[in-house]
Amino acid sequence: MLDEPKDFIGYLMSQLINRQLEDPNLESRVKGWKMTVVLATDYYPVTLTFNKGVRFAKGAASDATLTVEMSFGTIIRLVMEETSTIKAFLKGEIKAKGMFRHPMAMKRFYGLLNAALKG
Amino acid sequence: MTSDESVIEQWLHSCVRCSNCKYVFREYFPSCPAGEHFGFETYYASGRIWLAQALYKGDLEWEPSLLDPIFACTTCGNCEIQCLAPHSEHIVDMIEELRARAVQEIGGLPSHIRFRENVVQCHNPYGAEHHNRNLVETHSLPLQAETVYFVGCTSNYREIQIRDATISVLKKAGVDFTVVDEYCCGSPLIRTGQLAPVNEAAQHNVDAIRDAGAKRVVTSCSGCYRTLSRDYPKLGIDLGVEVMHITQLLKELIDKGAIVPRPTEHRPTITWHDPCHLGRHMGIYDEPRTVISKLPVDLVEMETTRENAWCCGAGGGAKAAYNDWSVETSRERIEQALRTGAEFIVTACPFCSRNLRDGCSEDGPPVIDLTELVDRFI
Amino acid sequence: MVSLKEKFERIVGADHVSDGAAERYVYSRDMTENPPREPQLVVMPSTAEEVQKIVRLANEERVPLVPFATGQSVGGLTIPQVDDAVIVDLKRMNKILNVDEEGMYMVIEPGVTFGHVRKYLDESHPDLRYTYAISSPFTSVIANALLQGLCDLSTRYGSMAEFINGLEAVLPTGEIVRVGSGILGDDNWFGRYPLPDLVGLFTGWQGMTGIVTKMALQLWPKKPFTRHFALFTFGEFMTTDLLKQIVRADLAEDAGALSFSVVKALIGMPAPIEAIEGEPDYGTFLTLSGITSLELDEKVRVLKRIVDRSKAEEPKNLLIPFEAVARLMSEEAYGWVDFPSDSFKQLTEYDGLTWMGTYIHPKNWGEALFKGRKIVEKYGYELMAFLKPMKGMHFCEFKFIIRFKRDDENLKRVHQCNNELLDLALDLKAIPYKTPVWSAKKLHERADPNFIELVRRIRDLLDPNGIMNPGRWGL
Repeated sequence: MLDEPKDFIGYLMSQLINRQLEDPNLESRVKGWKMTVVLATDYYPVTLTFNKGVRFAKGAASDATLTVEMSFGTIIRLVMEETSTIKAFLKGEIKAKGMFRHPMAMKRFYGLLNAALKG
Repeated sequence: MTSDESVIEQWLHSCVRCSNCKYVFREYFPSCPAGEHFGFETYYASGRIWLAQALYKGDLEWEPSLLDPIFACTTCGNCEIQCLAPHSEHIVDMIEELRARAVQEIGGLPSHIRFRENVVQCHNPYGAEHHNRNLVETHSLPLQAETVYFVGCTSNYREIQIRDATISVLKKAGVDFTVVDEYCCGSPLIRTGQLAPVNEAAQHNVDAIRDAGAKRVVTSCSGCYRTLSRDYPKLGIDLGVEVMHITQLLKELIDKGAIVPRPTEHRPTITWHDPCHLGRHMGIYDEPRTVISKLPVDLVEMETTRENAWCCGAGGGAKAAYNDWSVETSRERIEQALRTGAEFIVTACPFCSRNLRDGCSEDGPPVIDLTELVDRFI
Repeated sequence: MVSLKEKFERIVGADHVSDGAAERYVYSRDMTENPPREPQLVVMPSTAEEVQKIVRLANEERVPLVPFATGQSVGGLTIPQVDDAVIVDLKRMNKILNVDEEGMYMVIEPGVTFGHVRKYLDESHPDLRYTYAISSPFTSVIANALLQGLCDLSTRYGSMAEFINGLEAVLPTGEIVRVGSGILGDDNWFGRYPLPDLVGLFTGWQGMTGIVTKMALQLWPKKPFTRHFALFTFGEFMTTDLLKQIVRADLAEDAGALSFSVVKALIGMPAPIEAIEGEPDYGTFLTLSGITSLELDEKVRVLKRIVDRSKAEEPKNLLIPFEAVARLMSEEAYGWVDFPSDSFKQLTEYDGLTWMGTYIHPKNWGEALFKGRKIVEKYGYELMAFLKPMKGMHFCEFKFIIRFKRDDENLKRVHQCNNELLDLALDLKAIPYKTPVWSAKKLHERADPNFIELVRRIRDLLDPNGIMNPGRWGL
């Protein structure tokens, strides 16, 4: 379902999300999503394009549905369960642009991200 | 063989000779019977790969002194399990291609040539009188049946107790089966690079199995199983039926209650030897263990098992050409078996049975086929 | 007339001598770009006495000998430099002869590998540990010690040659000698001092001064509390400065830094791996340990403080607990730090592997990496630097590893690349290790000529007939 990106964050996220998509129910749901999410880390941004699957590209798409900003350190803290997306969001460690215009996209992406990072 | 199909060419720039192939990863038991015995780098998979590449590129001229490093290998495939490089699962294919090239360029080993001639003349590598059809009469088998029992040359001409036990079990389980006028499956020829007579023998087998109206073929021999399942399709030969090893069928028969083992007073301790052609080559590890678990026996595993199992030493033409080393290799396995305290060594390949028995001292544990064991308990 | 082959067969048995085309080919080359040369024979002794007889025969027949251990040879170090050499393959000498729990050392033969030591200690002496290299698990421990290689305790204790308590060797003239405290008996290999330190007659000589048949090597108690971290950093100078601070604070048992491309290879990215702008430049695996959890916790606290302080200059520096690495990647990640040899598989992509490695003054470390990177990038190879702070930060190691296809074009290009890297290293007064002959010759051009002359005189004194690995190290 996924290309193998050449960059570290793209590759890592694709591997983590791929693991989740081994669940056929989730895979089928994700296939129905149509949105573009920019994950803007402090290293560099990665664009996740959901359209009959997920594609990863290094860089920030200009037409993003959502832009989620977080440092790679925050990603690690989420993995270690030292924080949660909600807590990190409330503390300003995660910022999101487009969430009010696209609440469903936000819900879907946060859900997928949470599951992927917790394995 | 065309250059387009050459697995050596495909992996011409692979293998740094890191030595991972020499030992079981993280366990550090030896993995390579040839390397362990002969010691020179050329007798490990990595050395052979470099030879194959050099001969392919023309960096090395063909000459008779190359024959031993090329042929003194049981093609057991343990190197493939231990190798962590991208070419890992193609090592045995590379060695077999190298052998085929050797046969073309400088001829094979005399003992291999002998059994090729036997296959051509008598349809079995032992040069025994071809008598497969007698079994139909002896056991009152039908001319046509759903299942064809492909006896295999070693079971039919050397390890006949395996054949007889298999026929007995199949009858007791009520399997609709017969045997056909089978020719050598070609395994000994393919393993030793003598491909020329294989297609004709294989086509004969296809016809014989089709004429029997069979839906599936069951083999006693792990080598036959590998050859019919994996090599025939590669040679463009379609059997058109399901191919099973007897261990798979035994599991199926036990699962559906066609075989019901009797309880016994004394539960013997046994150990299981994974035949290379069944395990590493075909990935069948669980079925025989499941069958054993249903029998009134206690299984104690050896220190190297499943994909890391030490080879019996017989495969790849090694027994015919290098009997002393082949038997020495089997003795290593016997030593492992003795350390388990088992009363029987059980396996499911007539070739393994034969060589393990050759490596066993008189007071060593008996080596029997799983089918013989099952037959005792039903 | 008895042939040379027959004479060797009388010593080791006919099964252990070969002059076959296959053996001559395979033993004529290694995984690196160094040019091949066929030996006339390969012999495989199994005892020191057989080695002694081989050496005596070689003296009588004026036959060059080249020692060979377990087969992961690099730098052309086991490729004969003259025609008609005899390779002495020592892999049959593979016994762990003794482990002295109280003196914390082991006595081993040259065919013993890192993997076998690891297994043996884990099973028989679980409280002791040895130290392991980022090489195949089946590399000879003695070969790596003699070649002054590095391992996962080098950050604290230095090169593996430091760990030698003593050894037994067959001199080029055939005498079996011992050096170190073992001169007083088999159960006494506790150290090298206070004696004339003749271990140095064998380490770094690349098999020119004899064949080592036995070696005593130090072991260490396993620390009960250990934690691992990955440290992501940016820039050659900032990375090396931060590593210097961490190691000088004596926090880490091991600090193995890798170009980020290697980290990407470890997580499974397929070759060829590109360095992408914005990614960290280096990933360092740190091992911290303690006798108590309190000691370990305190070390972790100080480490975090040092890394946090570095964020003033580079906010993206990041210290990652290894638990997170394992969750993100796989449990296999623990293997990279627990037994670094496991990660060697990342370097087995093609049939060629080489590197130009050196030990260097800490003040030149960052510059060497910065400029070396430009050279590797110019040649278009993957950026795969390995660097290690050595011996508590007294010196440093760096090498650029190149995995390559051994075709004619690459063999030439790789050699040119290594050549440029060596020039850079020598400009920065780094000393190349595991040196191929061409590299040693370049070192000679810049080194104190009296040192080179001294080396030559010692070699000639020990080997009057010039039979031990002639031409090695450019002599």
